Amino acid sequence: MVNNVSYKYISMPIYKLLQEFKTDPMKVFDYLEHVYRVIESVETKIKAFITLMPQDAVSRRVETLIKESKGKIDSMKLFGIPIAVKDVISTKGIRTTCASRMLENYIPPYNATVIERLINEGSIIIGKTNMDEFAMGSTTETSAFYPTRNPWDLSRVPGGSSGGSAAAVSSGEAPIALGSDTGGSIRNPAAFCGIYGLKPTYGLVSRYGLIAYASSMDQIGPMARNTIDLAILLSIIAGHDPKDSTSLPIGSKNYVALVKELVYKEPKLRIGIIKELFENSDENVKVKAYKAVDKLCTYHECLTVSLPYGKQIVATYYIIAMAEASSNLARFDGVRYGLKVPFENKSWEEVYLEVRTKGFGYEVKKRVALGAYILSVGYRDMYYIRALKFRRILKETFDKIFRSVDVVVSPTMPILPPKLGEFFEDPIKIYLADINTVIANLIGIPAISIPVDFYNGLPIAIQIMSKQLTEEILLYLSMQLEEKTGFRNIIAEVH
Amino acid sequence: MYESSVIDYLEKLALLKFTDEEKKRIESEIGKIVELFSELVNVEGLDIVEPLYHVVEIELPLRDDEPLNGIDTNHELLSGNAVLENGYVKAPKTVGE
Amino acid sequence: MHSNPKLLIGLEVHVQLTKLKSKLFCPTPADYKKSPPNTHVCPVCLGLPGTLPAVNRKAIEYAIAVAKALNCEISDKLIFVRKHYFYPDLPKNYQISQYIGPGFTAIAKNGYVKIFVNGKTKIIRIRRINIEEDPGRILYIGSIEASPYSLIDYNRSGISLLEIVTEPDMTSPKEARAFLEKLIAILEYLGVTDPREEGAFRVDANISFEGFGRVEVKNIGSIKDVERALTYEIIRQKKIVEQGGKVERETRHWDPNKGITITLRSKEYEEDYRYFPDPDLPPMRIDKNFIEKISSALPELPDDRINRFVRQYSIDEYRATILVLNKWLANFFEEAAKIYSNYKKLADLLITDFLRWINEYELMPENLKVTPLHIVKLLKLWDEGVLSVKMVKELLPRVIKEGVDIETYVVSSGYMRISDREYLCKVIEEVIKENPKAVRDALSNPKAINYLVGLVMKKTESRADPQITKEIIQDYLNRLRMGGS
Repeated sequence: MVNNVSYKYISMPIYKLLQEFKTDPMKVFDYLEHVYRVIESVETKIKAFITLMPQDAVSRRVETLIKESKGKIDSMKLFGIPIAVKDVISTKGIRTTCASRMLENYIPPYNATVIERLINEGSIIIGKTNMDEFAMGSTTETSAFYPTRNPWDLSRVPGGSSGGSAAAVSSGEAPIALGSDTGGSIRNPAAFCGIYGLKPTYGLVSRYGLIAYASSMDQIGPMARNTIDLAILLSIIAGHDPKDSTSLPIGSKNYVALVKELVYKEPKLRIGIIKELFENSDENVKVKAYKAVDKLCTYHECLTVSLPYGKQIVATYYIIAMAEASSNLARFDGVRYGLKVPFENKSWEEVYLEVRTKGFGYEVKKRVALGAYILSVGYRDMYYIRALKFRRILKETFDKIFRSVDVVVSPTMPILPPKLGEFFEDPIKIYLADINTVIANLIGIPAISIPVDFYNGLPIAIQIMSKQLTEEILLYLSMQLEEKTGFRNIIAEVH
Repeated sequence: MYESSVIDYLEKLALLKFTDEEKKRIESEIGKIVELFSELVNVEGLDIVEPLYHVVEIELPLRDDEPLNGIDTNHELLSGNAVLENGYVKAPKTVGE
Repeated sequence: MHSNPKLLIGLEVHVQLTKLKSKLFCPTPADYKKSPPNTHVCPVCLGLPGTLPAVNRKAIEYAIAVAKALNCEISDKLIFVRKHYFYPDLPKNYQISQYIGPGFTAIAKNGYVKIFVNGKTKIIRIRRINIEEDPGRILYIGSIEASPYSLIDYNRSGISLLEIVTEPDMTSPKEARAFLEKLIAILEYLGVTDPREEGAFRVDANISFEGFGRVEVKNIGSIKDVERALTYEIIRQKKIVEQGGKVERETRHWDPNKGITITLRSKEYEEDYRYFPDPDLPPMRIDKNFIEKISSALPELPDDRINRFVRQYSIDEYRATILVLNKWLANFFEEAAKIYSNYKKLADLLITDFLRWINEYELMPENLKVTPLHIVKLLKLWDEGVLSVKMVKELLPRVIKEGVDIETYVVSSGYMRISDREYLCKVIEEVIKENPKAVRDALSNPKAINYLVGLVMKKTESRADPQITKEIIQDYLNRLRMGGS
């Protein structure tokens, strides 16, 4: 038993659930019953959701789905599978808040492309998950509503900004979830919550409907409790979208088949261990991370690589992210959507000021204001252009590294999940903890977080990064490690 | 400690205001943030490279000039999120300050 | 101040590409002008969170065609930037546009347009051409000043615009007018816009006397208003300087009803738009083949047509220009010229009375009842002497308005020129009886015969054939002289 339900059943991977559901669609209701019992048991403690669909509404949706899908059920890749969606992704008719007062009552009139694809494959959205406000944060503490708690230790953060999605999956509230990742926002909470999370190559997954934070780095990605589930979800959401002009001209790939083929063929890869990123981690994290990497090195060739940059990487990330955020969040003025204030006989400037002052939380205001500063005449060259130049240097550095190795590895996070409020006094410390994850966003390469071990009951994960459009390699290594560590389908018992 | 005139300038650019408490917080943080940003000043070889705006090499895709979208006769895209008056979106006044 | 300080006028023209079927960044139907508000909208042009732009290929092709027609250098890369400013008509509070700066550029620059003013050709240089999206429209409750709030219609948001910016090469309102007429004709000939559509083009005019502050007059909606606004500004600025004042650099607004420019709220600082390349739109290489394909498909442009008219129809540049700049009129002329060879006479009629009546009746060239054949028939009857000049001028408006077939009309309404000798003799006899003094004058002074002819014309409402009338009277006078009755 876990969280008031049968462990075996609630932890079933979705590829097994799909077999069951397709044989007997009524089983969907059974599984949902379990899911809602977990939610009932844990949600008040972890608060992973902002909007939870009531069980009867979801059941009705399933009834309709079964009726309408007659004859097509076999071909639906997510038939009856419940999914939690980060509240930064537009869902038609379902409130989408970005964990902000600005959008507290915003109901999008359209679906994000990824949502359309999920619905077409028969998936059931059970709720919108909590996050850092407008995805700006690494702990889900900047949510305007409430923080989410780590199911492994309620006094600690689940990570961020997709903390709600990670907590939901790790506690059994949902078998899979969608998150978004701009500087590590899928991988960080996946690591802190002991689940698998993947940030795809930039442009692999459509951003149409993803409420933008930093347009040149944002990506939607899958979160799950095992590698194959991750691959199933990725296969559905990846692929070209004409509505997104930055979407790569790639058709959909069957990542499950690709992974299975690689696992079978077992090609030997060259793995680069980024020594600085290990050395700069907490001792406890470092030891466990190295142990996990050693397991991979029994299959593959491991070399040490050096990354001669540290704070510059974080500075670059924050400069670019803040600049783009200030631009993307300029649209929030309450006129077409969002927070309303009475405005008759007030000038538009007064009203916009009021809406944006009341609607945005501190971290958002800070980043939006600094971002505008970074782009302003006089500071643009000093900050923004410089950051873009460093971005090229970083890309060239990794181009060089990938000539001598196929993948690179590091701990996903250099620290264990912190306590709530631990970083309040020193935000720079938390910015610097992003160093391992922001690299992949800055240069657009794919990265996966693989849970490998625990320390004092707290999850530890390693991150593997590879060249653009080689997600199957990451999934292959993840599969191998999963076999070796047995870290799969683990549910956190919430106390 | 940063001068409050910088904070005022930031507020003007972004069209928002920090509360008194937020002002205290940002005044203490902004120095450290700028310090972090200045890590880029001494990076070797920075001056000779071109800025990298787009991380993937794709050409801008172009779409055909076809009116694929329908007409939103019932204002479904704005109802519920905007205040409508006779089909127009009500907004604060723009003249007569 | 010198008695004749050099005047510098530059124009920024925003042209809607009205011939496109969808908007610039989304496939929303672009024919919004007769539709209820906020119906030609989609999540993208409303700037809903999470939406992304997708570029209209034809808009780019049209922009390149315009750039070629304006003799510009075309950039080898297509880059869009975000231009940031807050305003209720701008859904994203940034406009996707173009600009020339570090890391980005406009689609074209360094071109020129030839204008023909006061019998001379002059070059007006084009600084740059940008592609950008139109914002929405703001309306008010009652008067603008008293309106407690505004109303916004986003139908126009996202419509494709070209911004065409000139160097300050114009030195008079007349030159500005000539430039705009030429530019609008070029755009019409290219088939990228219908300049007669409401709101199809808006002009910002920059005017200064050399050495003094530059005044920008924003958002002028017609060529006529540009000329009026510039004329007003020149007088206003001259007055300030004559009274010893200084013309400040500022932005003003043209009020077409009051016929004056008024100060907009002046800004203490230059607006900082924080331009940066739009991360949602990767750049595109514009290769020579793409440009060549568009270039070779360009239709005959105004300058070429003017030259051809001069050569082919032996009419002068002045007449050719007026015809060509009104494209439909040039088409009408060429149709008529297929069946009528007195080109100068045809051109004269078309560019004077014909055009005047069309404007007077506010007729739309697409809906004309009058055809080239109607006009040719009229001209032929005039040539044959059946109709006098006066009759032509009288009949012309009816022909234009109703498209009447002139031959039928003339016969049925008795408008025919009277050449019946028997009838004319009767009328002449009356005139001679009633005017014995005039007859005596005519006998001694041959030129005075015209007076008698005139009297006959009066009696016959100008329908008498003057040639025959004169002959008959001459005959009679001769007989009188020889001593007969």
